[in-house]
Amino acid sequence: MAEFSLPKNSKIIKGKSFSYKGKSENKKEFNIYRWSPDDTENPRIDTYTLDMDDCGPMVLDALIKIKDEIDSSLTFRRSCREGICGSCSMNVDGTNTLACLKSIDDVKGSVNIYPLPHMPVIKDLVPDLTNAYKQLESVKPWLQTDDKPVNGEERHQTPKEREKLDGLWECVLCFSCSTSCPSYWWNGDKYLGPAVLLQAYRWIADSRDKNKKERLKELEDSFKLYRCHTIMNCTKTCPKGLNPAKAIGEIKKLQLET
Amino acid sequence: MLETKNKSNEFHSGISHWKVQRISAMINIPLIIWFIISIISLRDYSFNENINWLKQPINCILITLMLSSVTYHSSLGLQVVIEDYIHDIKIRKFLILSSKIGLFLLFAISIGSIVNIYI
Repeated sequence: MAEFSLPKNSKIIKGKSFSYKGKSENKKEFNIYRWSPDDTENPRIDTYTLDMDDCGPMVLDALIKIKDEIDSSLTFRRSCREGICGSCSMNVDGTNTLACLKSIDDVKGSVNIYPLPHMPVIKDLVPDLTNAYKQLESVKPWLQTDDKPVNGEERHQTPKEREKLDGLWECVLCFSCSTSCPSYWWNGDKYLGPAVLLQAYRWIADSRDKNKKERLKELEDSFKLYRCHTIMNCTKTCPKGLNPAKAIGEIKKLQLET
Repeated sequence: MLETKNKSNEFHSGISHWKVQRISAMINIPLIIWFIISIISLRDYSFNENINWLKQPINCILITLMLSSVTYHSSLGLQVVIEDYIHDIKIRKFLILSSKIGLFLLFAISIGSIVNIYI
């Protein structure tokens, strides 16, 4: 059965509070999920108050400021800080997003920050994405063809063929969409989830790929693809403004045709 | 962890189930609209009036179609819900079978009642 309540040692308790001692009027409170595998304590919410006049505009700026100046034990993934690497995906203000693309001003009141929902937590805001990466591998996200490129050149595409990849290639694999999907929460071990299915469609839609039939056949399964019940959380949450639900719809359409 | 092989009949073809669910949903739309309008336009809901309404061949045919389509669509939908939430394969299979039997009984009783009017 699906589990609807948390086990005792997963209940979130109130944690430490780091108050701001300066004189600035422009303050903002950040409530951040903390959990460490090194002790047996329950997860907790720590509260940090920052001077917004002395902080960058994005949620990631605030996290980096906290780690640098207040609490160096705060753990999160980040790299490019401009929405290209997909590392800093987390749940901010109740919505999965990239911390580097989420403006602090967009959040009214205090900012609640949690790791991506329904994934095992490694530490604090770092989720374990092993299963999601394995699922990505299973759709073979690379060009499959026996044709040799003419004269050793690039494989050519018409502008029209290339257009079909718009809205697909931009995905940075942050898994905000998959972890916002209730169907992925309940059946994440078997359902591939919107992120991986968008990647699968990215290769199905590629004119240079010659393994379309095999790719479609591989997804013809009641669990891998058809657990998508068009809930649309994926499209609503995508920090890059992509539409995984549409990609899934396109795969279903192609399967109807074959 | 990730299962790629088809084990223990847990998985089945997705597209055929998905397709018939959509088709039956589309058939349901006009039939249910017709049914609601018909029920509203009955005058006094007396036993005799209902029976007379059902005795008209067109009503009898349409309601039989509606019952078939609605119960079939329900069984497909319930199967998806059970697959979503029940992870134990044995319990899942038992519940899917039970739901199908239950809906078939419901359908059989309904059709039996309609036939009974004509006997």
